Amino acid sequence: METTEQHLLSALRFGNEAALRQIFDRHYPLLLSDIYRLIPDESTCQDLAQELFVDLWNKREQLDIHTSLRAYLRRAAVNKSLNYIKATRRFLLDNAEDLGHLPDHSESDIQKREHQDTLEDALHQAIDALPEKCRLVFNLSRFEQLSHREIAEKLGISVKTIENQITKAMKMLRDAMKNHSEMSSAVILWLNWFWGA
Amino acid sequence: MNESEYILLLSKRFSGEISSEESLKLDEWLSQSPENEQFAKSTQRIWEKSEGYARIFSPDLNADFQKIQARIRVAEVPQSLTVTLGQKLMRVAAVLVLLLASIWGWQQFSTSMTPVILVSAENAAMKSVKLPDGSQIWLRKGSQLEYASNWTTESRHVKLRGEGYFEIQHDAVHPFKVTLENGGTVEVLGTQFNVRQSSGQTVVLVRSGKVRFSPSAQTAGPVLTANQKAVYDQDAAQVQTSTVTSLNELSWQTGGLEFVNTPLVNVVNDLEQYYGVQITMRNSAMANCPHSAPLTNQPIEKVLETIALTHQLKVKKTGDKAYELSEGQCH
Repeated sequence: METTEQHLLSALRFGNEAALRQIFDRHYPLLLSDIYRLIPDESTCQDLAQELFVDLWNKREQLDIHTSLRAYLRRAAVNKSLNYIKATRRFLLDNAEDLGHLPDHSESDIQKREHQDTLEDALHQAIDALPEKCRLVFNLSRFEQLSHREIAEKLGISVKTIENQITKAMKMLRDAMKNHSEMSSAVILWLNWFWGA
Repeated sequence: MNESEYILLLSKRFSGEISSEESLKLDEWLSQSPENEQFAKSTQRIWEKSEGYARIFSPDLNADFQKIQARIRVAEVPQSLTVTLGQKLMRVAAVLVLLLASIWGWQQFSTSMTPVILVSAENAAMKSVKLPDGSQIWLRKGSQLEYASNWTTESRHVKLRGEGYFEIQHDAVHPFKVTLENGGTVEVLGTQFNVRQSSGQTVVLVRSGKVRFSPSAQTAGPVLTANQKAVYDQDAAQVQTSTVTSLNELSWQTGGLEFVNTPLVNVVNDLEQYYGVQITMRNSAMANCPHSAPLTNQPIEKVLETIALTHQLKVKKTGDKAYELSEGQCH
């Protein structure tokens, strides 16, 4: 752990609110992104991310962080998100599986869409458009270094279901990229590279 | 070919959880045709290109941090303010007692029966209390604050046991009064100050504003202004006033050190205590050189770097927690 971080943490243990603010400024925006990968709803992201700092403050005297603060907070964010998902059951009902989720289209989203010209953007949009459960499982596997078994345990569903969701996500992303390539001729060169043609 | 099966095997390989058995199977399938290879490549690109997938947030940090502060404050408000059913009953009981009491003389009880709120930092390193007028008080571990539950901005009065740091909202019409364990008082208009009470001694340190310190119920005391400190010795019944060169007695509250024209030798002393390090000064000519630096929360090496830059000193790390300062020029 870097020394600035250690120092911030010892000030925090000591009850220094300015230290909490510094930690907040450094980590809050990233945590919002982390949570958004799992729960595509801005206001829920904010609530949960803020709760992480309230928790950090309340636990400040018992904090025992061996990794970096970033790693610690990110893991806490994932656990909190999964607990929230489990509690609200919003992704887990089997009949919810095939409802495409409706991400809230904020202004930044719309702006992003306007100059969406790279394949990466198209791919990211395709991930956004995955059904909720599919997107959740894919992102947990892709970004949170969780094995299929761990994801299954955390969500309280079977490994088989996780594998089905991953497969489905990859298929849908492949299809989306194929459609993208058929629609857009301007990026043919890019595509040639992308598909290794 | 069963596409789904191989998509899954590929995904498992990308996320690093493919078994050796599955790996063999996948390799065999890959070697069967260039189409399969192609299929794997494009799937891999999807996995790789998703790397940067993230919504970038640029939140309003001030507004969002305020929400956190509000939730922290709610959690730290003294227990008696959160009304549970049990406490409701207690309140009813208190009212009943008052009513009964009023039958045989309310005057006797009206002062002593006002319910008080007790905030105690027994188990916490520090506890902060916000009063209805916006004044804020930080209690050091082991300290207690007491005030009437019907506290109003008209009569701003609290009792302190132990040590507390006060940031008082300015209100020239309504002075803020702190009663001490021994009956002494500190009276202020609006200011930041620290009160420390230990066996036989009361120390009042004023950071800004103006304070009247009456060390005991009988003794009228001095008026203190910024950077002034009064030490009352109970046995000698004497107050000594001095101007402080640093406010680092407050580091328990501020969480950092601050220097205002502090002789370097004292700066080094404070740093050693606060950071738990050893600092040797080679050039004795620098000992009395005044140093000023704002509140800082930085690691010791950064702090030393700043000091060295200011006074053209050389810093050398001589051990795990040992540093040496040499040369230097005092301006």
